Amino acid sequence: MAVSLPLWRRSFPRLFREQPVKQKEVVCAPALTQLVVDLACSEDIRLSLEQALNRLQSYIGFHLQAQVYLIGIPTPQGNQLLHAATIAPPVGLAGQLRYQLTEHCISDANELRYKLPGTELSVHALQLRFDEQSPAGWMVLCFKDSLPDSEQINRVSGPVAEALSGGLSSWYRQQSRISAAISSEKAAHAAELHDSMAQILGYMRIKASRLADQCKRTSEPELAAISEDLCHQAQCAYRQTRELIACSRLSIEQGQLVEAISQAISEFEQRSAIVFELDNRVGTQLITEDDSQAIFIIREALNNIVRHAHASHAQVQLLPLSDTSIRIRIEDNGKGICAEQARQDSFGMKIMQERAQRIHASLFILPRPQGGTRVDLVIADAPR
Amino acid sequence: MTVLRLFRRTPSAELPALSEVLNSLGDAVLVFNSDLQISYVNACWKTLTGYTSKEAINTCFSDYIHPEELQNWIDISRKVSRGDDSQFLWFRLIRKDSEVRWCEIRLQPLRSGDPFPLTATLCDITPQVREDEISKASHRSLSGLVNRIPGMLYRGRNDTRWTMEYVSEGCLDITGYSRDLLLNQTQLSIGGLIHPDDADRVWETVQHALQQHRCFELYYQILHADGHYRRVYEKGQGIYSSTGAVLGVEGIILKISPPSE
Repeated sequence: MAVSLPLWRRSFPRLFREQPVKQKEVVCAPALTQLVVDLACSEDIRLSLEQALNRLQSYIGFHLQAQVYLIGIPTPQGNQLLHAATIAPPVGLAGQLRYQLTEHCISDANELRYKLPGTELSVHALQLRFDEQSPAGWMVLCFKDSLPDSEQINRVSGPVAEALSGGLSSWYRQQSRISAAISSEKAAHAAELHDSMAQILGYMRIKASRLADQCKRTSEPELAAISEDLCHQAQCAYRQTRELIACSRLSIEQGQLVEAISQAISEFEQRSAIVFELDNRVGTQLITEDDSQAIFIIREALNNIVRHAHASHAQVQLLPLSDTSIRIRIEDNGKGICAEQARQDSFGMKIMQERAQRIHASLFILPRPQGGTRVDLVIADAPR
Repeated sequence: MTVLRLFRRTPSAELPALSEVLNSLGDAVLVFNSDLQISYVNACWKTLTGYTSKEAINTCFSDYIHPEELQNWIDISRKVSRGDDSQFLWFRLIRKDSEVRWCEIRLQPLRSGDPFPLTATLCDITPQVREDEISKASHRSLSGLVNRIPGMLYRGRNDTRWTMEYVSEGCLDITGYSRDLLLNQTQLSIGGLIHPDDADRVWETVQHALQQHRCFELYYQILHADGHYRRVYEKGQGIYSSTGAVLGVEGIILKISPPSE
């Protein structure tokens, strides 16, 4: 049933446009050039991959009687097992493949063949390389009975894997160009804001504060109240602008949260004598709804530790609570947070709460039982 | 089981029972079977981990290891079972209450030549690790402070080349040369960068101050890597031995900004 390579290549232009010949029930090779283009220009990579898999499944299913899966493809939704809509993966397959191929993978092997423990299934996995830095993804062919020889499988699936690698590489390159452009635009806005608005607001904040002090000393309570309000509003406007600037300067690619947390810890370590400890029990693959919101909350908490906590020790803990939920705990052994201090710094706390809500996470700022402060960010839907 | 049999040997009249000895130890003692499951723990195990001996028996030791150090554990256990000598590992142990303790485990085969069972001692090194971290953080903080100062802190020899033993990263702004170049390039020295019109005065002022064990203050021009001379201010003092001999000089050089227009 295998199709020879020259014959199969000649059939490229016909891909997908032709209806399968019903009499012989032959499934033509998919249009690989079109596949590369579809992936490279995709607006929703997960959807495009699933559509591609629907076509690939009928082709590979016909020629090899195998089920096709993709794993280790870092889509915005995380490292999930992708497959055609027509098939249902056996229970536990996603976990086994993720463990074997993406977490304990032999990096120099382009092809892996093994029997899945505790099942009748055999696996032939082909590595998909996107670029030198990123970890590889895998196209997995799952066979119910015996595993056909490697040459026979690769004759059918090798060019498909190449096309997937090609399309995904282009897509990732394009995405990183877009991210770089957005970051550079944000940085330009931040610089402009910093040079214009923030400077003026900073000046107004100081003057408004002085005015409020002077008005307090006069015997006109109305004037004092107005100037106090002005001072408060100027403070808020200044903090909001600083927040916008900080946000624009902070660029993080989706899926790089753990790396960004490590970097933030190194950065704060350099600027204080506090001992920082990272207790990461979730691995490197952690994606939230919006990683930039999550890192901002963590950085704000670290910032507060360095600025206000008077702590000697701080810990950031990433703990799995279930398959999809995690808890990020940032705690210190400092002087703790009192109600009065919380009010003074209420703007920062409010912003943290708002950011947590945006990613549908819960934020708790509590005293640490042994002394100090504890910030718990519980993210319910964080695929790993 | 083999190990338990060992413990059941009748103790001599003078010596206490082996299990009594093991349970009195301040370190945990463990025995692993061929699946690296725990087959024996002494009493200290509970103090260290919060798990009872009953809870621990037949569980994999990897269940107690922090995920980031799991691979190291697999590596050393493979080495030992392949016949390598005793191996040790520092790792984070996750206690029953989810707290983390730094531990050192020393792993070896029970009998030379047999890959299994393996025996191990487990020692809580959290206080040492914490102390080490505090000392590192303190050093890091000080080094960050010194290197962020908008000037060049230095310690050097009292010779006409002003050979440097230490310069802070502020040297790049003052001279245009990195620390590595200033410390390791023999042909490059602070002395060589001082303007020829100022060099003699600088030398004499410093020597005069050193003789009197006083601080020196200097204004002179220094040649920047961009080819232009920059005006700098320097304040320093000698480093003396207890007998008064000059061991070197240390101080700070600051750039004098041109007056703003």
